[in-house]
Amino acid sequence: MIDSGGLQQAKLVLLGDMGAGKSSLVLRFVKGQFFDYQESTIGAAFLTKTMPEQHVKFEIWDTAGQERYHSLAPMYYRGAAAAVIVYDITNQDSFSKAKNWVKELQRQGNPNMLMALAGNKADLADSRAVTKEEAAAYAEENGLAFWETSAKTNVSVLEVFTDLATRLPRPSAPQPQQSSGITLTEQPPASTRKSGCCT
Amino acid sequence: MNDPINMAQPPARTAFQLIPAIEHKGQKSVVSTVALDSNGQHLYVGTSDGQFEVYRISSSATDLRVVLGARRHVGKKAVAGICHLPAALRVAALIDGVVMLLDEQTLEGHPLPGIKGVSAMGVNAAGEALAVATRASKKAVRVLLYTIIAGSAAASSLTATALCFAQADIAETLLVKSVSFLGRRLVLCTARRYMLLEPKTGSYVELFGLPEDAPSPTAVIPISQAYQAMLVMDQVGIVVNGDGNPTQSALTFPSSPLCIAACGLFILCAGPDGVHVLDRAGGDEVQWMPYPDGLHPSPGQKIVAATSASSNCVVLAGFRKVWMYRPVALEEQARQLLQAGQYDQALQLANTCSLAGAPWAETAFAEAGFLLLQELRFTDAMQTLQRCSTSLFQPLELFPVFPTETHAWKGELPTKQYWGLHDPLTSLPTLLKARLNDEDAADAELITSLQDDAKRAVADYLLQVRNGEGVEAKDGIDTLIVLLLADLDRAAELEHFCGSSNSATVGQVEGRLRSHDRFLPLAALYAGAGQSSKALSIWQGLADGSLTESQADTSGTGPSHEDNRALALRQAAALLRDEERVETATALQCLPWLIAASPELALGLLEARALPEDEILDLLRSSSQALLLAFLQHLVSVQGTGREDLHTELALVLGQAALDLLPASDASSDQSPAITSDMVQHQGGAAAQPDGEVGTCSELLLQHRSSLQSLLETSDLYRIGPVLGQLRGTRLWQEQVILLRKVGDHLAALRILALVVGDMDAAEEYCGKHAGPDGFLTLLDMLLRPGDSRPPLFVEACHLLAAQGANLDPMRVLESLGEDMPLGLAFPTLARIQRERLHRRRHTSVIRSLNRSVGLAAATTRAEVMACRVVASEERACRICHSRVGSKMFAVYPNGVLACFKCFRSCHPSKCPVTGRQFDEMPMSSSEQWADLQLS
Repeated sequence: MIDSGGLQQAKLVLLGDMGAGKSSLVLRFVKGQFFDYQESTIGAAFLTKTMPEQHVKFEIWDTAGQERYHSLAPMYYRGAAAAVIVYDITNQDSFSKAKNWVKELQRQGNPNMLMALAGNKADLADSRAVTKEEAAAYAEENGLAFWETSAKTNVSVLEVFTDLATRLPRPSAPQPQQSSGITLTEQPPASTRKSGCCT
Repeated sequence: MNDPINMAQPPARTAFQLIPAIEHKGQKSVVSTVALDSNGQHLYVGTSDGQFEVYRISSSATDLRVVLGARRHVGKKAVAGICHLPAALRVAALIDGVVMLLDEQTLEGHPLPGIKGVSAMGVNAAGEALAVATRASKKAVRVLLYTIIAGSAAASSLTATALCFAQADIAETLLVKSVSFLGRRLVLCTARRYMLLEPKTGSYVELFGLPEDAPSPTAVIPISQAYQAMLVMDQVGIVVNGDGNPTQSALTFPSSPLCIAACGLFILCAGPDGVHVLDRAGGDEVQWMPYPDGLHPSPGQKIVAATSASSNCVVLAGFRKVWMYRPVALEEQARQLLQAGQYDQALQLANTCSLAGAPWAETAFAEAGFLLLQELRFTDAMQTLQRCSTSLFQPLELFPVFPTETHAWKGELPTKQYWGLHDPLTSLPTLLKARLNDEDAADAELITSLQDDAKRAVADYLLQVRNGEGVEAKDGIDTLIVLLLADLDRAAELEHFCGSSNSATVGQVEGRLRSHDRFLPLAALYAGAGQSSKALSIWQGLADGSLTESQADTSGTGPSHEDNRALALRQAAALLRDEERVETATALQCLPWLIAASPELALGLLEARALPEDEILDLLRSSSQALLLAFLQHLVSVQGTGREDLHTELALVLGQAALDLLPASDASSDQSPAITSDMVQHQGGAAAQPDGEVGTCSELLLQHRSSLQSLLETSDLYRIGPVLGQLRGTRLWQEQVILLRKVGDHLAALRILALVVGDMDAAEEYCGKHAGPDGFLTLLDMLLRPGDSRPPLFVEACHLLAAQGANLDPMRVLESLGEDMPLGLAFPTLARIQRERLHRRRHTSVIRSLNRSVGLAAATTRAEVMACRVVASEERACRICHSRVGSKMFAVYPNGVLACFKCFRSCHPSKCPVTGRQFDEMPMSSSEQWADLQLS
């Protein structure tokens, strides 16, 4: 979508396990801030960030990582042009969750969605549980851009989003609007059955 | 100092007021559901024993009364839901799976026919369509949409017609718990998931699923005025638009809600500890209200809520008590927030309402501005005041903060109260004193810093708004801006402001600007105010160093003294050029120092502005020769003056300038041929580069000589004598040649060309163009007898003869050659002359013979013609008009045709009018006889 300022508006969603650093990553990218104790996201948070050089305005949905809110995720990744799947390099489990997110997006997400895999907390390399090679191999295998980032030390944060913004397909012609959700069934309205008495 | 920063504060805002409504008296029943009509004037209460009650709500500003209107027993089980259908004047009550359509006043009615097992229902925003969800089968639920029609279209006033216009089945094993319209679509909620249904097509999508243990309520809260709905899950509310897409960050409730209602800009969430009011857009909690007595829910107790469509009322009900939450007017909320010093919330509210067109929002901004100013949050205050239009707030209302600077406009200050939340503005020192504690008030550095902050913020604000529509006291505002910028040492901005269009009163700012050594802005203000002489006086002072501009600048890199001096000169020159603003006398008065300070700018002025020439020239003669020359050139070349004296003076000045630039030895009267190489080549051409050995002519010299030669050539207005007198004997040969030519002294001119300069080509060209044949002989003679004991220039002479000999008189050439001429050198020329003489003699002889032949032939013809006779008699008639000739005059054509003179005159004289013979083409031969003539 192109807004009046000539910017391409793109929906971007961040997915990943709880505590992987999604909110920190977004906060660093959007506001340049970092807090050691970032509160857990509940539901989802919405932020926007304009990248004038790429002529892109990202509408960012920072989702909650708690398993409880997993079911909300489809609402946020539906129609997204890009997704950043975040894991914690010090937590092997978060990498597994990230793989699950990738699978889910591949299965249910927008087929043209750009995906980036971000191994966050690169500043804690001493406690590394996921090797860079392993993650890079997985990313390559699945066609994802891969970055090891640190929201704390601001390493490769901007690069993740800049890379996505650069690779966004430019709209050449208006596309027919996609349905806002997954159509489960589609059936003509059933004929009103005549009941015993008139209505 | 008091902390000016508004830290995060607990919710202390009154967005809703709690008012007790009714208390259910039934001993064996409790309130099971409540509803409000669309405009909040009727309260509907359903009970657990199937009672349905309607209450009329009458409210005033101070009081609220709820009176029972009607009561009816509509079923044996609890009333599960109530929807008001204002378009049909009906109320739908859900009881035991049946929807009852009741008259909204009398509660008389009947069930919605043909449908049972209804689990949820909802009404659209217009209050005309009813959606009901029921079970279609074990694996599917069915949603039906009805239009409810009442009044004359219905069978009776007590019955309503329900027309089902859409129906959709959804594969779902669980009951629909909540139905809500979202534009054209419906949002459904079961215990497992939320779905978006397109009723016309029957298609639906799952918005999201719910965890199995998701606590109640999982409900859809319509936000009809925003065409949105809030989907609740746990402590989270997700606001979605008509397409089912989320529109904002999820709302987080302070605790698991028992029930939720949306009202205006707020979400009311009833939790175990009370009712929390959240800002719908931002999610911030703005108010918390503990439950009143009798409403406090016991564990597991259900609380029900309802909102009127007009968002003017929310009701919450426990088992027995029903309480109303009346929204406080947003204006009042903003006022309260400002009063409580919660500026951020107040401004956020005013912002939202301003976008919606609330007229009070500007007043809130103005009040916030004043309050923030008094809180010493100067920048925030000014940014807030910018939101106000001039119809409400005038920038001059800030003048009391700077009473000294704005004393002159004291009488223009309006008296406005706004909301009366702020104290009257006082002067900045008083303001600081009032807000700072003793310790801070004694801190001079802090005081200065705060004063600067205030001045900076106000100056920026005034600069922003001064050109706005309807701004009053612009002179006062501009004056204050100048003073503030001067105080802040914002030199560049001050100069720019004073130099551009403004209404500042110079008298009010002069003292301050002088005390700050801000002379450039002061001069610009004087210039702008039409006091040119004062402005010029200041610039003059800056130029001559008697005044020094302050170099203090906020940027730390202010312009140097030299830059300021140059700027003063430029500005002065620019003003002096303006004939409308600066009188001639003033310009003349300023000219001497401008000439002294910057000849370039002075010349620019002289060229741009018409000033008395003679006075200027007198001034320049005594001050600057270069400027005099440039000005004379401007007068002569550009203005094309016809004054002889100016042309003459220009020639003299140019000549003198050229002479001054010549090396001293060259300027002497040395006519030795040895120095003749430095010669400007060609009359009328540009000055030539010297041949080499001298080569000292500077570019300026060449320029002057070129100009001089051009003037001497083209102008006929200068007096030659004085110019020639000045140049005679100097090395400006070319110029002398031009002058000598103009006075007709070709001999002297040729002497210079041939003997002094030795440029024979130029000399020959001069002879050809100006001196005539005698000139060549003169030149020849000069070459052969150069005088001054110089040997004859035979080679040059022969060259001259070879070029021009054929045109010269041989005798005179021979006479000129003289006896000393070597025969060998002269032979080719003499031989050619001789050949030419002989040829000319023979040619003349032939011509003479031919002419004699022609003369003889003519004599013969004449004799023949003379021999012809004509006899005219009375019978002879004109061959053209056939009238008798008689004694009239007649003519005879060469072929003898006779015509009266009248006809002859009217015909071609060389063409026979009868035969048509052309006599000039076919003359008569002597053998031809006249046809009609009789020879005597």
